[in-house]
Amino acid sequence: MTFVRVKFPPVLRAATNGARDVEASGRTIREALDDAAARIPGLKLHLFDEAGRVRQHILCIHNESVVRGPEMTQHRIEPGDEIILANAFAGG
Amino acid sequence: MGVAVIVGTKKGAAVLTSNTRENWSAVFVLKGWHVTASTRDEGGRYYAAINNDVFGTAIMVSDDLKGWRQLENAPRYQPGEKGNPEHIRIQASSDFMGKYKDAPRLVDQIWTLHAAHGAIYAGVSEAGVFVSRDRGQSWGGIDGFNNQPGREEWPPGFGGLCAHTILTDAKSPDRIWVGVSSVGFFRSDDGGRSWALKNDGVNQTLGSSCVHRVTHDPNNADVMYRQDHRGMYMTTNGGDSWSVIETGLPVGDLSDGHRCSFGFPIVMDKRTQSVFAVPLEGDNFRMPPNGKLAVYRTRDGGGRWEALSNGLPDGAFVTVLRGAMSTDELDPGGVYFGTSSGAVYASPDLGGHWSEIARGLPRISSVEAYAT
Repeated sequence: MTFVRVKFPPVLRAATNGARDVEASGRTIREALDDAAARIPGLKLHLFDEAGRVRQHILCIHNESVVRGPEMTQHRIEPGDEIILANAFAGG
Repeated sequence: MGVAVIVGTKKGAAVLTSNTRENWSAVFVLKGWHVTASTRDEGGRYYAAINNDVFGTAIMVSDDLKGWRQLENAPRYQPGEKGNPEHIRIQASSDFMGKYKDAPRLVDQIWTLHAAHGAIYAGVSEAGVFVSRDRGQSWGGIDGFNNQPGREEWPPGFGGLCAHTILTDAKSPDRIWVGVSSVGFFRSDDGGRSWALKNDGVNQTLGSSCVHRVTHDPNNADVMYRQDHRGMYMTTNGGDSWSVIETGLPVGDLSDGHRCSFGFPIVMDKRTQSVFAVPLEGDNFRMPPNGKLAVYRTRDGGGRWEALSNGLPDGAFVTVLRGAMSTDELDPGGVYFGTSSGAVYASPDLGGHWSEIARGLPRISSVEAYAT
């Protein structure tokens, strides 16, 4: 099983009891998010909508690429990878 | 006896506490989350509804107003339920990534939390009502309300299609009232299985009724006061019929020329049955007339309203939202409200004089006061 680290944005720490990240397993980003939500149950509400889809304003940064929405189901990950869970943002 | 006031804002909640109602302490919690409503159950547990445009809706709980933890579950519709198309269209207007295209029925905000009869009720948008009977561990929809015939054609208000007001009868758990913008005020007499609209006597437009907020004493539940988009009303029969009660209130023109009072919140001090509202200048402007911020009170069942502005500012071009006012039920009764510019005003004497007890907060959505 592939273990990766999923990192949370600051606003989500209200749901993670302050945790900044969690180790999760999976072969794709979507599987890793499912596992993270199983390890921290409060996360499920925030990652997935009623239809079970990853909320569409969420993006993941993996190996310096941005992965969104349905792409997460196919996007493969490797042991030791880091997945940065982020919301859409802008500078200025 | 002290007071705690949970002030919900766009970016977190200020918890204001005082033993005297003169000197106040403040802590800011739930940073980054829109805190849209709060309540306290019979066991003394506090609940706060939170929302984030990206990460959705959840409920936080606290037993001491210091530590908060998120509940694992929250009100949610079932996968595959069809949403109200007009509500989805309104939500999609800010949808830069296409979230709401072909959207199912989603809970995008909790507008009110209400504790009664050992349960916690939640009113949400897209308009619906949910209930938890295990202190928030699990939630179920009130299907009789949520699946009413015709709800797919309900007209949303400016902020979407939201169930923002829930009231109950202390003497009869079967009686429940729900206010929905912009559909009207519903009542169930059978524990939520069936519902009837209760808008008779309320001025309507385009066939719909936009209730803004309703208050009552749960121990005298059938006497209710209603701040509507189209004026101020009361009923003595649980909503079967409504009468205009605007003597002493400022009135102005709505966008279609109808002249009436306008505002959002309305609350009651149950001990004296005094009722408080914050009139604004019509639906085009939504600010105090001439910027003179004033709370209006009736002590005679709506016979006459009087302005209470001792300590409130002039030049206050602000809005007070429907959930941003509360009473503390102490003797004498305290009244509290928060503004769109982040100020909180409090009166320890039923509106006799006011003082600013917080300022500089983000836009305030909800204010709930609790005797501690």
